[in-house]
Amino acid sequence: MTNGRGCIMKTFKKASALFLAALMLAAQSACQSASKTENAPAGTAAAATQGDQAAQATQEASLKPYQLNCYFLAPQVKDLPMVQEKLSELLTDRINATIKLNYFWFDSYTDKQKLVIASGEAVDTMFVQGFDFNNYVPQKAFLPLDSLIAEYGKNITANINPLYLLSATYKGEIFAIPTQKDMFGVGGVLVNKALADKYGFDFSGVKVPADFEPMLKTIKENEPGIIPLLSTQGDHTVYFTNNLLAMVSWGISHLKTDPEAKVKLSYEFPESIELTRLAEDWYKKGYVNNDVATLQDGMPQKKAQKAFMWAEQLKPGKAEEMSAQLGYELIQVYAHNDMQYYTSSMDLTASMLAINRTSKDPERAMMFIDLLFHDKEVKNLLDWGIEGVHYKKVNENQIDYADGVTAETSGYTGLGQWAMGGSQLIDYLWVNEAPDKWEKMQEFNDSCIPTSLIGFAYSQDNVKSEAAAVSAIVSTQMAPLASGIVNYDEYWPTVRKQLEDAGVNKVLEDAQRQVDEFIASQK
Amino acid sequence: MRALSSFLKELKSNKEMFLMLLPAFIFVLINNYIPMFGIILAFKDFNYLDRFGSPWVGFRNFEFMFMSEAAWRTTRNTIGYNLLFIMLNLLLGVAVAIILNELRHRLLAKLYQSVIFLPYFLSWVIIAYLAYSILSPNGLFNMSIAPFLGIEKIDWYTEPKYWPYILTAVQIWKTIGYGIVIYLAGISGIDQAYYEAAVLDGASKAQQVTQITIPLLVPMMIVTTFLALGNIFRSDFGLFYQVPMQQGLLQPTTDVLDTYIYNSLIFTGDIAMSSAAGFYQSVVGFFVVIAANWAAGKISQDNRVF
Repeated sequence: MTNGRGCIMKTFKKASALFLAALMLAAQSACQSASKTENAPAGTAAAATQGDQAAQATQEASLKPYQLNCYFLAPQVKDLPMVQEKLSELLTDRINATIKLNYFWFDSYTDKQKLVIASGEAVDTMFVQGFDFNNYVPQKAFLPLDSLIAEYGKNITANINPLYLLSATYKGEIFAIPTQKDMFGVGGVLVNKALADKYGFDFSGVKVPADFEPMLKTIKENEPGIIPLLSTQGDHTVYFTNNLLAMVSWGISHLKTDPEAKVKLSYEFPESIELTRLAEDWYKKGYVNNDVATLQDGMPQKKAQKAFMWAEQLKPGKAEEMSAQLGYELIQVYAHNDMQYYTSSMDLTASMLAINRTSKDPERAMMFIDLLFHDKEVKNLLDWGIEGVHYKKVNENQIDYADGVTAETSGYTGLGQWAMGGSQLIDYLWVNEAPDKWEKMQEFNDSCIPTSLIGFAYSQDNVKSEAAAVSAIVSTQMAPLASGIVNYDEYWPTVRKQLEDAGVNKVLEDAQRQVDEFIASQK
Repeated sequence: MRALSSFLKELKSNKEMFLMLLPAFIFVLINNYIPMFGIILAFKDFNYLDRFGSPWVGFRNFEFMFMSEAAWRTTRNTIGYNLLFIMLNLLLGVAVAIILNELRHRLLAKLYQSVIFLPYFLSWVIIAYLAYSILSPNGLFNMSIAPFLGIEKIDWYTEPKYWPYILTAVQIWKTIGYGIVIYLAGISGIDQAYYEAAVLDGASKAQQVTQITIPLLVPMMIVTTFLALGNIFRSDFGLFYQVPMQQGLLQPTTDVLDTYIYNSLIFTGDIAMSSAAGFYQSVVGFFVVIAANWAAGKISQDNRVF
């Protein structure tokens, strides 16, 4: 419950005039250092014109040594110091900078992020996502980036889908650089292939989640000891609902198909009510694990092959990724088929790098982010570690564990490459992955269209107290509905009453007003 | 001026004592007093650009704690549970300490004491899973105990009515050892001459306990109770957050101020609002301690702590 403890007032320093002067003086030496860029991989040349190269070289020559301080969503890995040292070498060559990497994984990242921002530590780039972004930006934790992108982010604009930058916009200014990756996901299920084959299930007829029922029934009746649908606190309902609704704030959504984006409580759309009824029905029939309300981690059941299916957010290749992890074959089935898929702000802002207001050299931070979009060597070092130590190349674009190294013994493994910023399309692929994975992903990305609220970030500033009171209810009272352990008609009115007491109507009005203003401004 | 010079004199004559106090003094200064300036954030619309210069907003940051019926529920639960815990910890702590003290077999006494103290060192997450392994739908109770006794299975995690008992039992089980150690220390500090005199006068064991041990422990009981009362508006977050597994259906009996504040602010991470919450809890705790001290003084001047 703390606060500004230990806050030291730190004023943000703009790039000094001295720095600019040095930059101009050094312009003369541009010719000599131009050769440096030739070391950079082909991607650079493709993205940048001859003139840009010369300009870049100028910067490199004139840049003072600087240490970047960067926070990533990544697990604690043993060989981090080694990778950090190697990356510092590369960056010294590219932008005359060294780097301090700070890795924190899901269990601690958001807490750590809060602490770091509150303490005023000088940070250059920081992973941020979704609603955290919506919170920190109005609180002025990050720098607006438009002019920095224009000057130092040529490879970013060349390699990112424009929708991404739009989604990271707040009141007309860009505040973070999203990662170019899969632009949306489809809620669906992963199915144990052996069991599906045993009963000859055909999933091609599945159009909506209710179509899974006959298969669940068969498994329930014939496979005692197997959980037909494994769910942790109703995550299946959440994934299925996400195909239809886009969240605006906690507990508040709009239909993805709705061009007017009429906002309502997430559990008051006919579509979501139907899914809670389905969840209740499945729970009562015993298709869902009986500890669905309290189960926090389904991994042990999945590893032990005790589950027939479970819900996931799917993208091309998801089943192969999970199969490799679990050691048995899986198939993936979208829960909603034959429909138009959408990408929403929540999808596009799932992984971004922001530059903190406390950064001592935002220009250099932007140069670093720019590298992550085109410099294969830098990006893949962050992703997979050091070639020859952690991985080895089998061909131009595919890699395998280095000799004598396995998933268990590698000192740099388990990272989420999607969280390391830049463009995933320059990541190396593993030997067991389809070589055309990135082409597939491009196709997948092209199959979605944006919702009408891309570029809109709801600001709770006007209704802070109500929003806090509402989120206390949303964060605890929705899981029973999603799990299916309560009846919608009995349970929802009591929750609705609590939400109204907490002032949810004021939040809804405020959100709708902001949405309307945004949509009007887009026309 | 006179006060200062007498203080300096005091300082001079007891410099060893003050030197021993110094580390604790510095610790409290850095940890508790300097951060108090942060309180002003509770009245500001905080942003990271202006920081302490952010605009004032009066009491707006406090509003969220008093909106909706949650305010009443969390306040009732917080104070109710705390009073219950304070009382039970006091009664059971003193009782068990006296029993352990009376045990003639010193080795066994030490063993019992250690066993009782052990849970104090377990983290709430571990305790939550211990409870879960017993109470979950596939846990010890529903799979073994209920069938054995021939009673209906109970879905513990959806029924709020059981949780006051579960939480109290778990709390006592975990923390009682700490109180026992303190009271045992208090008992061993009692001059043996009292007991020798009592034995000569033919006092029974029970009389020794009620006439000597308990009266001489009263000052210590008052201090520990006061310390606990100062935190009456705070609750053991781990107990109320981890042990009920964050189940929304259990909230009528498990939601306390700390969990409510956590759930309200976990998404927004608003520094100003969390400062306001901490400030509010501290102020209430402060007045409760003042009131308790006053009440203790009413009973007997000797019982006042300050």
